[in-house]
Amino acid sequence: MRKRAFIYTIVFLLSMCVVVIYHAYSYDLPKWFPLNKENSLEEWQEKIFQNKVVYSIKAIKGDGYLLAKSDSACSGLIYRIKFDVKKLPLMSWEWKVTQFPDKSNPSSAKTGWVEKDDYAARVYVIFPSWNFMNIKSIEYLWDEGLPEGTITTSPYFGNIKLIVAESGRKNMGKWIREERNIYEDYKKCFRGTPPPVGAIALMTDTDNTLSTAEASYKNIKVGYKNEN
Amino acid sequence: MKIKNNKRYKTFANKLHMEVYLTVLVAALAPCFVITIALYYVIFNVMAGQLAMPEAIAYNIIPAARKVSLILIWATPATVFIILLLAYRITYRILGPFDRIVRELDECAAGKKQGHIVIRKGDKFKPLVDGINKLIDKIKR
Repeated sequence: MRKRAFIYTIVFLLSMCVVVIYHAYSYDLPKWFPLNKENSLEEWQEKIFQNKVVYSIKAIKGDGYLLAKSDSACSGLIYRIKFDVKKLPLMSWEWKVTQFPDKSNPSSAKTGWVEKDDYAARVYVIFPSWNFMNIKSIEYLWDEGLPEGTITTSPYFGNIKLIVAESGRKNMGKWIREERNIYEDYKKCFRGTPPPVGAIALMTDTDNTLSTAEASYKNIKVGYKNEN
Repeated sequence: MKIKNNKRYKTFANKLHMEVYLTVLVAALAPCFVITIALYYVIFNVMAGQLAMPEAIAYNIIPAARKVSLILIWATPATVFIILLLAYRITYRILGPFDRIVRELDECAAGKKQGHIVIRKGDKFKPLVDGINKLIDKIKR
């Protein structure tokens, strides 16, 4: 009788642990980042690679956005979130580019792909793995030159796929809304079933072209599906 | 097992030699492998988790991890070979003479052998054999 009570207690405690751990690592989905309040970036981590891109919130009554200004710099904002893109495949955001990095900079002696790997705006979806060599990432870009819909591979790593979501100067200075099906994009880029997303990130960088760029982001929404 | 000039060359001097040799090998290699894999995983995965951005991982950690892997690919077989060789040499010197001492003692006891028990230069148990030889001398007297 006492033994049975002991087993029940252990099972109960283990179940409680599972429930606590599950809630500790679960996220309220869909997650929406309006980026319109002064403290909007508190949840985001900044990762600096070369100099610091100035990320600042421009809070306007009832609206607002995140402004990124890069001057020969490379740093990004990352938000760790976990969700299954098979169940919740959609992600949307609004962005605006006001200045593109100058990729025709004649002062740069190097003209390779790595030297041109700067984009006015990019949104990352990161798929981590227990083996860091197997980390995968999709980056949605707004690039001046590459045609929209282009899928290419990063010069740094084969597991980073770049998708040109917006191209050219025709919409420069305008807010453009993007909605992407991450599940479908993953299948196009890597094939196979995507692992859970581990983080999303934003970056405006000009460290390779040693130029300046300016972009804005707002209304980022992740982890939802089309109800229609 | 090789047979040359009617003399049997055994890889291991006796069963005890094989057991001790394997114990030494496992004791030397198993912790090395476990620690290497654990450190490799912890250091690089923790760093990758901290950097988080894929480009940063690709630019900083993956080249370092590849270099470490390359070093391990060359260094591990060399280290294992040296450990194998040293462990064999040491355990052979310790346990190789054991059977012979026992056999010669049996022969002495049975009266088939006269004189001292002889061990090779470099063999262990010399103090023991010297003691036995003194005892044999004393008994003879």
